[in-house]
Amino acid sequence: MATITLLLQRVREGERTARDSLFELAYDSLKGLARSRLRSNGHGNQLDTTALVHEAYLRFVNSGDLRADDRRAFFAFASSVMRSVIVDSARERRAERRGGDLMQVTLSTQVAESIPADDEGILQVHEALIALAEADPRAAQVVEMRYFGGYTEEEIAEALDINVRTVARDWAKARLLLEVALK
Amino acid sequence: MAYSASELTVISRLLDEALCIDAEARQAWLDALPCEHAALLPALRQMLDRAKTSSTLLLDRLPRLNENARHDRGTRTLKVGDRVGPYELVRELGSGGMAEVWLARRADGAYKREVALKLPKLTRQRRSLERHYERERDILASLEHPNIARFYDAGLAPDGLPYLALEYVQGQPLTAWCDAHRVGLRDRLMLLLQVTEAVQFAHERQVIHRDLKPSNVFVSASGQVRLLDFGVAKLLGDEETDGSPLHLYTRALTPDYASPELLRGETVDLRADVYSLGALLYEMLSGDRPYRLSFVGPPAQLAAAIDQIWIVRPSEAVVPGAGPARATTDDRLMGRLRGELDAITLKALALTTAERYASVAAMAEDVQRYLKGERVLAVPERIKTEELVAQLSRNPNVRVRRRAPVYPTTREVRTPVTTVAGSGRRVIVSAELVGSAAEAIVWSRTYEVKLRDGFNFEDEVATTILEAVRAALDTGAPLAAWRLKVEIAGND
Repeated sequence: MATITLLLQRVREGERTARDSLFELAYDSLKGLARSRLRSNGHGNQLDTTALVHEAYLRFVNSGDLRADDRRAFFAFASSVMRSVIVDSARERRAERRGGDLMQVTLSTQVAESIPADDEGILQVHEALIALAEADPRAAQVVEMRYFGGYTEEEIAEALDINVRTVARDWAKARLLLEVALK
Repeated sequence: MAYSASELTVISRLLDEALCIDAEARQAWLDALPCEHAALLPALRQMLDRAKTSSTLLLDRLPRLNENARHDRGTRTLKVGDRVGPYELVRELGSGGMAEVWLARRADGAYKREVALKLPKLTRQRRSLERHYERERDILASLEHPNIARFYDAGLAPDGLPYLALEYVQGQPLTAWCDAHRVGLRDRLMLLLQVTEAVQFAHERQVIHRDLKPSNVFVSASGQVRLLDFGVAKLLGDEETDGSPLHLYTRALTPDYASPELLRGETVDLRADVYSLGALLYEMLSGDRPYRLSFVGPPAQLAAAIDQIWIVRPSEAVVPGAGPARATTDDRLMGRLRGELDAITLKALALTTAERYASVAAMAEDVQRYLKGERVLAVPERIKTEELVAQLSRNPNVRVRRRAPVYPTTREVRTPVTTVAGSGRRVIVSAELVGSAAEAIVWSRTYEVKLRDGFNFEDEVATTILEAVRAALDTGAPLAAWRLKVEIAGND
């Protein structure tokens, strides 16, 4: 049965528990994908979140959990899952680092310079977004989709069914707000 | 300064208003704000200042997510609208280990064409980067082929950074394209042949790509393959000099598609690309990579990991849902991969170059044979008992008489191996050639066979033994009668 499609529909109808189930379902899947990507990614270690969301989408469609025409709804929703995955993993790493002697040695001694990732930055954005979501939910969602989901402005406009120019304006505004007011 | 949610709501609304009016008029607008907003004025002023210079880099990109990631000190940050030489950046297309690629157009209007502009990320090793880009330019200039992204232009931006202008390929990475379009097996193989053609073309010009992977093989909307990124390519026989940024290569490399010899840092030849094509084919067929290597760990650990690479046949690695993405079912897909396609893929993925296809052409020919329904060379010929006897009897020291149509009589030769014992990765095979009179051992040999070659295990052992026996007989040892004994033992 098209599980995700059904859940998306129930979310649209305003059912709260449906959103939780949907989140859980997509969370594990996206987390698994993200982990395997980061593991397999070797030196790059740059998580291509858009690719990940696309891949998750394809997997769900292929497994029959999601109807292909729910693409838009899925994408709008997937970036919030992606955000959780990323924030959780940043928190884990922070805990690990604080936990002490985790040492990473890189393959090539020539690139042995090793600096912790900018996990703090990620967590700051995450917390600032919580505040922004209260004041300006749409701008917060645009940031979530662009920063955590890695979508382009066009993709965001499509998923949220708003004008690209509106997305661009929300984006510009949100950055200013986050930078100045939320510090 | 933290603001309450209600204050933020107001700021957000006011910003909407302010951003809509011209930058010059904003001061007047600020001055005209009712005094109830006085507390918000400093923040608003600061934001509008920043909006004017658009200097904010905040949220520009998600930071690297791995604790092993490194910051590129001295990274220059490019943004939409920036000029690089004669080009203007339109949007970022992607970013790899050492370069970022932007969609760009000529700012001077010389021509309309959009290009993919490749720019280095690091400014630290400017000199070596320049040399590196010159090299890539020279390589690209020699590679004009319909399946290779075209090279247009190269130069130095006024700030001294090198750039390369390449054909902008609108499309998707090979594997993603195949899945999105639910491309069936045969068509996937046809696409692979387009890739092999491009690689072969490069090989004929002595260029080894060294980084073939799905994200470097794009398929355009019309289904045409374009090979991208010769950034770590090298010329055959061209030894890396100390000045070349090999450490950048290793960083950019995706280990899962790279051949073991490349990962070990040995000198590679064209067969390194054969291996990567094997990995690519593996993923196109099964939906998964042959394996996933992690680069975190001391070099010795990596070397150990490479030695332990264990590749299961593609037919056994089919990921759930891969069938439907290939216009079939998972079960049928497994069935179709079993045998010939397994053999082709694993031959390309042989861990030693000697066992691999000798060239990309040889691999492509085998794929073509499969498509035409001809015998695939990767599947070893089964050595039948009678063939063994026939071959042996060409040796003047051996006489073979036949009684029944099939079995020889005076000399009992049996196909050496029946089943494989044990579930371990290796098996021990011991074979003896015994002279009959005194049970004297004329020849004996014990060797290990790696089970990853399990599918043609028997034939391989047979061939090896046959050759050894032949060599033994060539020494001219007189044999009245002899017997071949083979034992197999599993060994974990």
